Amino acid sequence: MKGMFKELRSNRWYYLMALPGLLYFLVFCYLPLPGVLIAFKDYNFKDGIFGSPWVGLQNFAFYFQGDYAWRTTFNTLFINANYIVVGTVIAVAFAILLNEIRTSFFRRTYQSLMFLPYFFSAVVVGNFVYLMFSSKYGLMNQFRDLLRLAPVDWYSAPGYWVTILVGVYVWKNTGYAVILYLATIVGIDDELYEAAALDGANRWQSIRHITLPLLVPTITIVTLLAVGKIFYGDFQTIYSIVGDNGLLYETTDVIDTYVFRAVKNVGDVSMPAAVGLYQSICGFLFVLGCNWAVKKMNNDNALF
Amino acid sequence: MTKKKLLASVLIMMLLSSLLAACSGSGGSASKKEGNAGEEKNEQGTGGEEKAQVGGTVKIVLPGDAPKDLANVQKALEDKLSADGLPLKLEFTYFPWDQYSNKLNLIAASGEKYDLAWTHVSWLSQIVSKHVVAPLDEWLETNGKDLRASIPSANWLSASIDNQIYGIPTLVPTAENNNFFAIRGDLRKKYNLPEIRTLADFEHYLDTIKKNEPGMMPIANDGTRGLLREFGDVYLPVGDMGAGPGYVDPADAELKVHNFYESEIFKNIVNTKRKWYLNGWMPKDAQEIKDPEAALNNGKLAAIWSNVLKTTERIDAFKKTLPQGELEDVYLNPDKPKYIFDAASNLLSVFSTSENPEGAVAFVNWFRSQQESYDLFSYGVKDVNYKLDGSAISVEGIDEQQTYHQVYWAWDDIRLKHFSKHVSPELIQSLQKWDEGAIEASTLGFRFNADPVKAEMAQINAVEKEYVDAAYAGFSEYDQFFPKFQSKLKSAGIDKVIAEMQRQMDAFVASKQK
Amino acid sequence: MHAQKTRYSLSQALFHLIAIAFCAFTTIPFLLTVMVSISGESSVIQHGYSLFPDTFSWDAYRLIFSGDEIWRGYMVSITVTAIGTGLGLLLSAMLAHTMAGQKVKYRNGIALFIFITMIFNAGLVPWYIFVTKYLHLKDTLAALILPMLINPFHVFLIRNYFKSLPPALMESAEMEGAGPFYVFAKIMLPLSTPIIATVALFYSLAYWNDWGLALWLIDDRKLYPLQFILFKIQSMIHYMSTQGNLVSGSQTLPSETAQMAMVLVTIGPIILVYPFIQRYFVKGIMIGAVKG
Repeated sequence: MKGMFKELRSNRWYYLMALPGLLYFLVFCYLPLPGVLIAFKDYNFKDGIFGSPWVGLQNFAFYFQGDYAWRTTFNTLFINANYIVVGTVIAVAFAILLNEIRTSFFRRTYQSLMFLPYFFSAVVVGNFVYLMFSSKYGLMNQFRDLLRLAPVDWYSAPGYWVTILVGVYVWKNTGYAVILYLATIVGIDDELYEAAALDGANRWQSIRHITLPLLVPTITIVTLLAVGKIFYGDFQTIYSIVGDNGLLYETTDVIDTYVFRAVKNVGDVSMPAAVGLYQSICGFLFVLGCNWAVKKMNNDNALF
Repeated sequence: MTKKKLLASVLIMMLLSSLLAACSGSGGSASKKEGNAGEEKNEQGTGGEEKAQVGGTVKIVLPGDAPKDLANVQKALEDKLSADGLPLKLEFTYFPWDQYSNKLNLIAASGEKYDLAWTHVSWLSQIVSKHVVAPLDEWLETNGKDLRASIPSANWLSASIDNQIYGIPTLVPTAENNNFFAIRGDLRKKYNLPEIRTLADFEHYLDTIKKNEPGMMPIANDGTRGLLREFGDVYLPVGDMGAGPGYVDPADAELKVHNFYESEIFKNIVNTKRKWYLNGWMPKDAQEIKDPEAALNNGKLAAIWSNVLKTTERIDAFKKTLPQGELEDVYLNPDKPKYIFDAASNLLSVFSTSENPEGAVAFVNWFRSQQESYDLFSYGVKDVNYKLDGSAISVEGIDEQQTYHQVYWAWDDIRLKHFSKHVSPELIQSLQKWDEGAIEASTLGFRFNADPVKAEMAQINAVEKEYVDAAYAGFSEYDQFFPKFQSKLKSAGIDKVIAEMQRQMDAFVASKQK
Repeated sequence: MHAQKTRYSLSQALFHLIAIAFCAFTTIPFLLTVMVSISGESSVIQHGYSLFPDTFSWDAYRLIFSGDEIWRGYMVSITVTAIGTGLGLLLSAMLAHTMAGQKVKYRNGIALFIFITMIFNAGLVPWYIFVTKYLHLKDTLAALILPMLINPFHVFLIRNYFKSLPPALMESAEMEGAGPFYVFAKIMLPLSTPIIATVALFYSLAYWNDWGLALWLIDDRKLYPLQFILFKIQSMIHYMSTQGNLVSGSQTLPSETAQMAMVLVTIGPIILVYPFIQRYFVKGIMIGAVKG
């Protein structure tokens, strides 16, 4: 206790600066948190959160006793892992690439154009995907036609869809991530590159030994933050692309789409809350583990 | 002598006028209303606390968007209300379609003070068990007498749970409600096809379209319920689109609940849809016809699902783009018995947190009992928001800012509503008489409460969505998907759900016999 | 020397090629969006999306811009975005500064504290009850700003950037008696323009694109932000097309075309503002001050 007061006093300006921000989180995130109790209750509106009857783990039953717990969890993790890995590699590659482009006019133009898909709503993205992959007039099949290949019934074949979803993710989010990584690269001291050039390093070597290592902290943070949410599926996009097409559920049905489908007509509030809690806890444990591993490698890069 | 005659004539006059007052029809209801309100006010004045005074604000929640001219119509409504003795103020709030029921739940959760809302019979058991809406019987007695009298008891029964009424139902034809198709009548005539009465006739029509109209899709994959007339006109306690875990045959005296997915009915429907798909009568991709209504109106679709009133609702938009086209309703096997399974669909309910339930009920009572008030609330101010051509309604020539597109179907009343000029008077007549001759299924009034088996229902829903949608779109071969489907249903607990349905059904029957 | 230069310009060409390819991948759908938004609706229904539609029509835009609802929506959105971004950025940066301070013992505790909020949340119902019943935020401008004021993700980004700045700068300032506020305002911020600009952009986009807060917390039509109005229009179009009675005005309801037009209506202001922000994505000044 005494140690805490001493610390608060000696660094009081720091803590004061942090206070408004911390207050925000306390009020808007922590105070409503007791509401997670809904997951353990048979919630009805008259008795409210604290008055509704306690039912223990019953609300978890529909998810875990069903056949789909494994499939949806696996799909969620698999798709998200792909998003993280492929998304990061491509975004970092493009950030470095753009940085290498001499003319600032082109660099800025490319950056802006890459950013455009971010603005498309999920519904519009679904329409575009259909435009590409519909069996009669879809662009992909027309393209295959040009190459004398037989058309594919994309919307009946679950096997292709993880790739397609990752493709869509890259298309939509690379611009956004590139802005971020580029901001970091831009902050690297020019002198480092100059010194390396003096030592006879070529461009590729500079990238490997200066740019990349200095990007690692940012990449680590972004990845750790994404890992924390790895149990949350990309509901908006996936639902607008796959919709109610059961033939694709084998590979694209994630936890969130499953819960939405199951609970839509039952109208229950506690069941989704229960699954949400499951997603939070698992994600949190996962991130704790990864953070610990990162700390072992380099204490500075860890999240906390 | 003269005095006696005078006295006699005065007495006779009094007698006559009181008889007239007692027998007055709709013309007199306004004065009746004033009488009622007056009575209530008097009672309030005399200190009696039983009947609440009708006044204050009624906060109404509806789906969609506020009509552009709402402010003017609202004022007109309030003026007419107070002229009729009901000094109510109205406040309208509109929630977007997609999140409407979520918002209703949130209102209930945080105890916000709204009074009246649109609801639907299919959510009834959930919103009642979660105490979102309040029972209306008491207020119908005090403020809703006309409603109570004019709406048949079957409709009230369908809007009740455990013999308490939870919503004011619409009054529309309800027999075989969704078991229709609608087709392009002009195309049928063009190819000299007879009127469609059987499934074979219908398939012949689809085939003709496929062969002769290359730019059109014969039918989208949303038209399934119409096939129940062919394969089994049964009652589905859960499930709107022609599929649900259990079914009851109305002709079965014992009212046994069977597993719908194990039935021949389901098998036949799936096989039929598969046949349609393989023949190229249905779209190859799920998303090919994203918006069937737009496709129909633009001549891309030749047949679509329908219900009793739907054609009258679609016809305006249809005629705008296809003035030469005709919409024709198709009702398979018209000689087979006509059942009423559910006599209510859309409801107006009162929130359990409402502070002015009397006002809310009085308001509904008011506009449902007079043509003028009904027109005002549903269509707006005459000649400002709409025009009447005889009794046909039209909005041609009305400025965009003066439009009043109200969700009138939430309180539809077949006796009072106006139809578009494209709807012939004969059709209107037949619609008003549609329910005559229909058999009220003995399951009428039953509402399945899914709460005891909600975990199983959630799993079943998920399984259904995965397999049934694809099957009804013709994508799956019955023998291929059925074994997997059945085993998943079993492990999801469908037997438990059927047993629960049976248990509730038996309790329902028992309580009816009391 | 000459060989290296050729290899050099070859790799430049390659970079340009790759960049152009990817940009085509992202720009063509955008062009399609523009074309569809000015196509006639029936043309789209008959033939699908096309860069060369049969008929042209401004119906989609006419529908969206009818009435003054949408202009008010722009005003609300701009106000909310400006205030939200400014305030959120300030609070985030201050938090990040504390979390980056090497002397601050509890900095990792604070990091954990805010990180948890990214993963755990109580769900819609408890949040709604809390915000409306206890904070009384319903139907206020604050309701559109406060609930998403700070995003932990952005706080971490800024923290990282602060940590990457040479500590010598801060040490020398502190030796001269500067407090954390001074260091923050006069040293950290000016040197961090790339990340500040980036986070400012991200926050603005988040506010500009949001319709969730309005959906749950705003019933007063005067306070609807732009995206929410578009969301309602979309809902309404869908309703009208299934409930076709009493439809006045245009031939066919511009459903597909309106969806595309909405994208452009949203992007519009961003495209105008973005080039101005871009020039901040450059190095912070005075890195060389360390030497001095």
